[in-house]
Amino acid sequence: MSFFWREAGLTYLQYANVSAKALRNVLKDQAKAVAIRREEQFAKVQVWKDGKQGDTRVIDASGNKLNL
Amino acid sequence: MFRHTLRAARPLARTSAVRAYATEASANRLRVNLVVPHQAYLKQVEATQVNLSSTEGDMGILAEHVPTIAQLKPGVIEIFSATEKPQKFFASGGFAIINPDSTLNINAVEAFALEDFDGEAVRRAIEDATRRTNTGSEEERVIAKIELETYEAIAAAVPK
Repeated sequence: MSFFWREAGLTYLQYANVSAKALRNVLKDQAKAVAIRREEQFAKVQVWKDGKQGDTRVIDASGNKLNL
Repeated sequence: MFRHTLRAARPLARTSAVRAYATEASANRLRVNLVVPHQAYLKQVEATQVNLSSTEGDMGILAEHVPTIAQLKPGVIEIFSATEKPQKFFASGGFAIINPDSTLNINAVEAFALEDFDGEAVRRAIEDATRRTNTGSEEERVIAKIELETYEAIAAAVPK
């Protein structure tokens, strides 16, 4: 049995995470506030050159617009 | 030669467990573990029956069920016990593993009790996801389709 998401090029992990994110999206406020924090993933990137720290760039994949 | 045969036959005679169809009259109970990555909702809880929804169809699991690994669809997991009221959780997906010793391990990515869902938010989300299945790139449409599957399952499960 081939799943429609597999045929479109998605992996199981991507499928499971999309499903989980959808579930978190429709929770009641209290449960949602706790759950939405599980989606926070971000990276801070700093390029070092000649021993000097460059600009900081934040990559926020979840798109939840965190305050940092 | 015959002595060897006798020795080989003895272990078989000692075996008492017989694999049979699971019946409700079974004295054994299921022991259920329901976990998500961040929390263990149920740990070694005794149950008489567990209903869940797998990609191969809906399953009703009793003690002494054939050992199985089932991939879950977004859906309700219902746990019946001899002493407590039935518990219901909605899981976004994951796996249910039934072991030969009647332990049932359900690993879900996200799961909540049905009371934690907002019916109005689900309705709006269904409209939004339906719209998105027809617009955007191939990947965006597939993602919208996955979300729609989840939202529709929640809508069917959550009482109005």
